[in-house]
Amino acid sequence: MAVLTQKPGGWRLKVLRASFLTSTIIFVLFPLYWMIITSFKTDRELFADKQTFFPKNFTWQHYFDPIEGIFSANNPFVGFFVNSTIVAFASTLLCLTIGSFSAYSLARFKMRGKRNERISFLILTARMLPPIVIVVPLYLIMQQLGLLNTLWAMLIVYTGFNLPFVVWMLKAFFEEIPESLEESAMIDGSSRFMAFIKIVLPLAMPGLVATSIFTVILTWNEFLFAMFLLNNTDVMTLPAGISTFITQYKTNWGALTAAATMSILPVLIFSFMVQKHLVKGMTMGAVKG
Amino acid sequence: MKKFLAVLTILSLILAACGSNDEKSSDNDDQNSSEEDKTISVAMVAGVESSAVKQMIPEFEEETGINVEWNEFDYNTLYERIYNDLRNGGKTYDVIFADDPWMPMFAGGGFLTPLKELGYTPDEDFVKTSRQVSMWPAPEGPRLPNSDKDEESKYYAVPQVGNVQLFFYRKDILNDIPQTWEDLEKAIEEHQGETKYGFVHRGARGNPVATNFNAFLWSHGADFFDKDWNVTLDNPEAIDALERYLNFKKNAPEGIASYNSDQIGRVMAGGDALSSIVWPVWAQTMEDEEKSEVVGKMGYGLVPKAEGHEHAPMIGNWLFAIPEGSDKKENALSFIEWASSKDVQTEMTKLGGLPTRTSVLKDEELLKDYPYLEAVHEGLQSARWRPRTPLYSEIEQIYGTYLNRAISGEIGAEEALTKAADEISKLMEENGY
Amino acid sequence: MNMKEVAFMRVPTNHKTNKKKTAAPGLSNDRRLAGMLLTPTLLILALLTLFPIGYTIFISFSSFDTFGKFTGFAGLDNYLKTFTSGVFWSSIYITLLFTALAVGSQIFLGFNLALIMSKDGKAMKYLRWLLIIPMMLSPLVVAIVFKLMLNTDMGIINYMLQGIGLPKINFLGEPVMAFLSLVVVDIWQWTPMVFLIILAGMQALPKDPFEAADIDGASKFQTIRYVMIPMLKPILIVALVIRTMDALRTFDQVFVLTQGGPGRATETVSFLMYRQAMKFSDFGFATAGLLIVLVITIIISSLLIKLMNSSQSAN
Repeated sequence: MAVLTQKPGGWRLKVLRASFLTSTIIFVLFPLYWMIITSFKTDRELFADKQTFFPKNFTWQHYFDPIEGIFSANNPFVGFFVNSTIVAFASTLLCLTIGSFSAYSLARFKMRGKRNERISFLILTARMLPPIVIVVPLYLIMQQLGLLNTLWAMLIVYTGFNLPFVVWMLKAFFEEIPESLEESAMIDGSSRFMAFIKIVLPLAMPGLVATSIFTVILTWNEFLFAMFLLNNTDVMTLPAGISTFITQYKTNWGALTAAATMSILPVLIFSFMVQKHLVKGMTMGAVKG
Repeated sequence: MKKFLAVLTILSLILAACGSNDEKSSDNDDQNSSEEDKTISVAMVAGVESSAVKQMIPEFEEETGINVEWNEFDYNTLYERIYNDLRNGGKTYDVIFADDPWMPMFAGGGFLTPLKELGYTPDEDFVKTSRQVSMWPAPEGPRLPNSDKDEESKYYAVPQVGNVQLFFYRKDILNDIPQTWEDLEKAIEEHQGETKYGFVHRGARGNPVATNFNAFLWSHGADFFDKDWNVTLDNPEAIDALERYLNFKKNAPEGIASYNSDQIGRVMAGGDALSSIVWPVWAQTMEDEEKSEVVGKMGYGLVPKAEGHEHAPMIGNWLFAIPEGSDKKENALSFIEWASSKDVQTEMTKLGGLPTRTSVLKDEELLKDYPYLEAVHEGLQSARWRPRTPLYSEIEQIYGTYLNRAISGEIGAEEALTKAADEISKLMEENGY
Repeated sequence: MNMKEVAFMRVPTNHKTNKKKTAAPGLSNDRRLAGMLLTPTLLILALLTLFPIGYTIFISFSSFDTFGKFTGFAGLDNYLKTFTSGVFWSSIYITLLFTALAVGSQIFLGFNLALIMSKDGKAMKYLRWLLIIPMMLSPLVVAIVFKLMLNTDMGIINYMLQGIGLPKINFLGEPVMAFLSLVVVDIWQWTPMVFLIILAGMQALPKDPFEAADIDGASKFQTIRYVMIPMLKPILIVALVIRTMDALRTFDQVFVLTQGGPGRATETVSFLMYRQAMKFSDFGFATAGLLIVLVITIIISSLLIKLMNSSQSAN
């Protein structure tokens, strides 16, 4: 849909465009590159006066050293990773299930007056809350429920805080699907709910995929709630866990960058695999939302 | 549709699996509590203080049959994790590891178990100042308003890490350790050019610059408060101290206004600076061939003083304590007694920790390999502690903000301290001091 | 979870009978189903937002001693203290300035990037993926990496600046630079999201108006200015709303990079209130301040959303 590129641009414009693009790509990728190579440098090289753009003595010590490495038996990193995976997938599933019902309801059933709009806005308000406002009360709720320091707490909180986003995204996707399809199914004797399950959901599959990608990523990356609600090392998720590696007197940058690298690896692979859905998801969700 | 159902089934299986995982772990908890729970939960700060003890835990578990659940946090969040928990009943941890300035809040707020209740008193092998910071109310200095002025000081904690500010200097360049700040100024003049920098400040906002400057403040005979909590930070001695502190900037690195101990340690290990005030944990790095350019060239000693005043390095001990809400106090105490025993502290020292027991600090064998222990012992003798009030972290924030502005050149010494004193006075007044 | 699913599976049987009574598949008669489908979402959101907000309001009218123990009701004291606190207003100013600078730059850069990248083609696809990586990373990890790179003496950025003969910059130790560093980190991380939204919007635009503009001999710049931007306006506002809401509550980056310093140069509202509550146990002040912020956020967002709705209906 290259609406503007049909015209032959002058060479000056081309050069300008190419250099803007190149510098953007360098700006975007350099921090990542720096993080990754730092995790492969020896401590001595890391602290040296003369910086190196590629590790002189390439080392795996920050990953596999039996004492200091993040994959060593006494390092909690693997546990963080497992916890994040569980929470991210479980809360995404829960969110999508609950969210798709509500989104469908908002997309299809017209309520009296402006109630649809009002409820949609109300749901969105939940996303405007600065997490810091509610984290202390949430701590108390979770304590009362006996869920403090468990992944259940995170599951509930993340489901709740991703719901507004999921509902808005999915609502847009459902609105794209012509209502006549369900109507014909219903004339054939199917119930409304089954029509939704059988007809609408499969058609909205790209939307469900795109939405779940965003939900997984948001959950994977969340820090503030995890920092407050998880106070035992064995239940921590990645961002909260990694932040505990920043020590008082000396920061072990090697291990820290190694942990950071490993924590973004799954997101990179995952997003690469589903990248076509990312743009499509945005086209449908955010744009129509 | 089939596809969708299949996906849904798989996902719900995953969910069920993770659900049952969680259940399993909570089942375990239930079982444990029913058979007289043998698991204690410990909240530690991440770093050598922790890793040294952590490596020896299997021995303890085998000896006593008590399981230790080990939790390690960064310094930034350790305080609020513990505090949040204590305030809401204190059930999460059975043993906490606390920085000594937290004692007024934790012990003063009645959140900790007095050790006497459990029939325990730290023995005299622990250095005296370290024992003093483990008590509440503090044995010296002003007491909180509305508190019983005759209340007996009681032990609420056991000192474990004998941290105290040390003066690091290049003994290959300076023949003698500078005794006074004046000596240091002269030495820097004399040896200009031999190292990149003369003195390195720890100037980052808040706690870093505040603790760093405390050594100057006290060694000039100044202090935060008088006997009645009146702020004395704007006294001429205090302003002198800050002026001297800022004066060292001419021979300091450019970025000191954001320096934390991390950067100082690295500048020192890289051989770029003549001297600095450094936490002793860095001494090991200085003597490590892998990480340091100055092996064998670094001297460790008492932080200098202003002429006519006393040496006054700041104490920053780490203490073990037991929350009042814990229902496993006996086991918690066994753990603390074990961790602070001579044997464990000796092993901890070998792994890079700092002991609080005189017998370990003066151990001939250890001194051969860890020459800085002598300086630590000496430092602890003359060390000073931070004002004993739960407001200290807020005071430090105000003070550390103005000091940081002074060190970044925004305001002068007098303005910084006068404004800090005003703001702190207001804070104290609001809180009934 | 499973129980909820089962509950929903039962819904259709109830409605089959309903459906047959209303001859046409009347869409408005499914009020009960509509309600049932909405209930779980509303319940969860109520549990996680209404109760906490109520609790926060309660705290904001209470007073506490220095140990953080409840000592009674304070009336409007906390609000008075907040309104007269210079620290509070300075953090509001910092947050608003931060949001304006960061989000403004993101929209500008994201728009230009989308213009360039709207071409189709396989290479473009991979390039797009590369460009949107930052938005997929944890803000905490991003802040850690930038902290490493921006270090005055050990950081790679100053090392490169010195390499080309420029003086070192004290990125995190000097008030203005520290503030700008935070803005740059935010731009690095979130321009990709704005870019992605705008790109999606551009691809959804109809072709006719552009062809018409072409026939009329409009210049490229004119086409962008008078044809594309007006049509894209709703999308630009969506990006603006999403980013503004997030930028107003910036916390993670401040927590790792500057802890609010130097001085108070980077103390955003979220960070200030976090510290007041968690470090100083000044709960009354913190909650009163946060509620004021919440009101401000809702006002700004709903204004932006109104703008969005009106521009959408105008289109």
